[in-house]
Amino acid sequence: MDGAYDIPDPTDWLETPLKDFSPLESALHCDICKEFYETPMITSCCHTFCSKCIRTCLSANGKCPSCQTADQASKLRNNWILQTVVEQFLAARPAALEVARRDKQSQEQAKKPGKRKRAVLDSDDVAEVERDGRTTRSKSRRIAASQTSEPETIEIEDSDGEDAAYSPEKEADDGLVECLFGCGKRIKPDQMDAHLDRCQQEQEAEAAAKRAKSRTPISTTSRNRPPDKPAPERISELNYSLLNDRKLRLKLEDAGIPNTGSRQLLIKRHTEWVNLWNANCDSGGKKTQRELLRDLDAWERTQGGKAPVVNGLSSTIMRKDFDGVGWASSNKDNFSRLIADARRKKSSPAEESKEGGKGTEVVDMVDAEPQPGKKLQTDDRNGHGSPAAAQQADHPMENHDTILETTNDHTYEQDHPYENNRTALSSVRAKVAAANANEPIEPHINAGFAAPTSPFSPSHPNNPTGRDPSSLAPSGSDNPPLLQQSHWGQLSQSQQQQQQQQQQEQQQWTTTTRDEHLLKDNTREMCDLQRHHVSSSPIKMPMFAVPSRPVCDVDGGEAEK
Amino acid sequence: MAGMSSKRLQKELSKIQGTLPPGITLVSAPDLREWTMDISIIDNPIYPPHETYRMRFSFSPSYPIEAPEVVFVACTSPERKIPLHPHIYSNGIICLDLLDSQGWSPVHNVESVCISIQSMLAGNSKAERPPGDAEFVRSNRQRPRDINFLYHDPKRAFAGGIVF
Repeated sequence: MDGAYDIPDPTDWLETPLKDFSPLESALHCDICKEFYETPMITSCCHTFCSKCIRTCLSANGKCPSCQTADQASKLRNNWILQTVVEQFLAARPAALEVARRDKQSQEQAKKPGKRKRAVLDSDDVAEVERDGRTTRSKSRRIAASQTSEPETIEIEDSDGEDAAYSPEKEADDGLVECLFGCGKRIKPDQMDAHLDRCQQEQEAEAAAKRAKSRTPISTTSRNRPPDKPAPERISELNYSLLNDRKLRLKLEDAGIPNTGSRQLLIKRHTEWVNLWNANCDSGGKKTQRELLRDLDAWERTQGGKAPVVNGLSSTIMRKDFDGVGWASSNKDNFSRLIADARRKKSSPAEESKEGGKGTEVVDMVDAEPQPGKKLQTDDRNGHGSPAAAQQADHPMENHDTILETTNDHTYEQDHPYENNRTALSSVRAKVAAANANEPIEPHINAGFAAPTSPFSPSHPNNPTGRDPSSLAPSGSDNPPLLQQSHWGQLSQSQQQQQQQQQQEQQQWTTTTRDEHLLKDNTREMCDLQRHHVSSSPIKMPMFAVPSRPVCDVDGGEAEK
Repeated sequence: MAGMSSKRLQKELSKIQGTLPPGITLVSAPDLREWTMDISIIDNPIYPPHETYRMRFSFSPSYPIEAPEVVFVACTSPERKIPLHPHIYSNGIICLDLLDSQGWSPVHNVESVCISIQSMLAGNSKAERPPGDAEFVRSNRQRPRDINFLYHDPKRAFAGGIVF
């Protein structure tokens, strides 16, 4: 072989006289990983793959990759004979390839002028004849003297590796005849009979030796088949839908693997672990648990929780396995502050302290929701169609504007400057519904709000003076500016970026009818501001204990006025 | 396995760099994440032989368990258009069950996907876009693998529309 980095490949054979070995080697490759079979397993549809490969496939979609027949990992069976074939092929490969390559070289050499014609004709025999040439005569003489065969066999093999360049020219016209048994030796005609007897014995002995030799590795490997130590037990796959998060975490803990991350990640990790473990069982438990854990860690880094986020389209589209809970908990402070602010603003100043308590009570419920706070701003801003990503620096000002526009439209609105929060809340609710229905949460759900907010467009005639934020503060409670400040003044850098991103997404989604459709789907109706104004019910309850009473809390504050 | 996708892609790449069926060429494979391929269609009047179409393959770390994302891309130099086909949207998204998680099988590879798409184009007789193309192109922001295509004719291997 050429070196340590020489990777076996079927194309290696193409340059040698043994071209047909290329398809043979290809046939020993797994169709999934395109490597030599590693612990080949046969499916119930009689296709064969590496144990790890087919287990991964079946856990992904439960079908045989070759024929798309449904199958189960528990029905896989070891294909021992194929494993032996692969092992033996791999063992024989380097030597065979070397011979094939050397043979090619000698073939090229033999084509040079000055060589004997016979050598050119029968290139396969050349090396053999040349190598054996010298021993032949001496041996054949000894053969005549004694009939002991065994030591001579060894002598032949010893000389095997000797000079291939040895020139057999002297034998050209020595009146010798080639052995009729095709051992390649040249013998005097009168000694032929004796030689033939000997040669036959010799060949038989040689063949027996070869058989024994080639059988040795097989017997060792087959001795491994029923392993000396009992093979570890296979783990059965879990029906993840029957387990809640807590039980699932316990299962992972029992298995001795990390139990952190989102539910989706937990499931993926456990699936991978089951596959790794069972594939190891298939191979008779070659690896220790520590090695398996290292494999799992490698998976974690490439495909699991620590995997780098593959970018591209994902910058504008939320990943399917977005860890909403994790995001919510890492931004818990921001959310709780925003919600507290919103609650305070909602209540009249007299109620403020009471409401504040309520606000914190709500927080826990909200934590399960990824971005309520974010929606709060992006919605009202998007409603006016004004935001441009580049204006991030202007956020505070711009947001005041929008708030004022809406609040100054009517006196009614003036008392309820948080009107926009309502749309935000219902959008959050839509998301809750979507999440409950196991649909991917997508930012476009909010786009439908463009229409309802349009009446409060910046061109509204009623509020020429309302544009100054300071003028609003005395007119109502002093909460609106306070709210805005807390929104925009204290937001962390990362959250602002997040908002900006969100904003872009919404711009993209604003016009599509499909979004409205989706929105209707999730909320059963378009979000209609007028309706919100009218309907009412003064029930106070945590905002996000929603599913049972979807509408009440939204309009709760409204009814008091 | 950790390096499964890169190992396998490396193998495929070295094979592709060697020989490819006629009409299929490798344009670039800067890394093991995104490759571009060119295909041309012989013997179909809808697609003139001098026109070549460019496809972009994006591989996830779970390849080959997960299908690669394959879309046609348009560019100006050299000029590449999106081929006209009842299952290819004008933004390049291909409605082909082979590329969907249901139709994909790990035994497929880049070469076989190219051949499938080439034959899908070669066998086409209608020079038209899918129904609802304009609407889809305007509204779609999903990645191809997340789109819920409806395959009308499973026997034909490709056919389709979108389920909203």
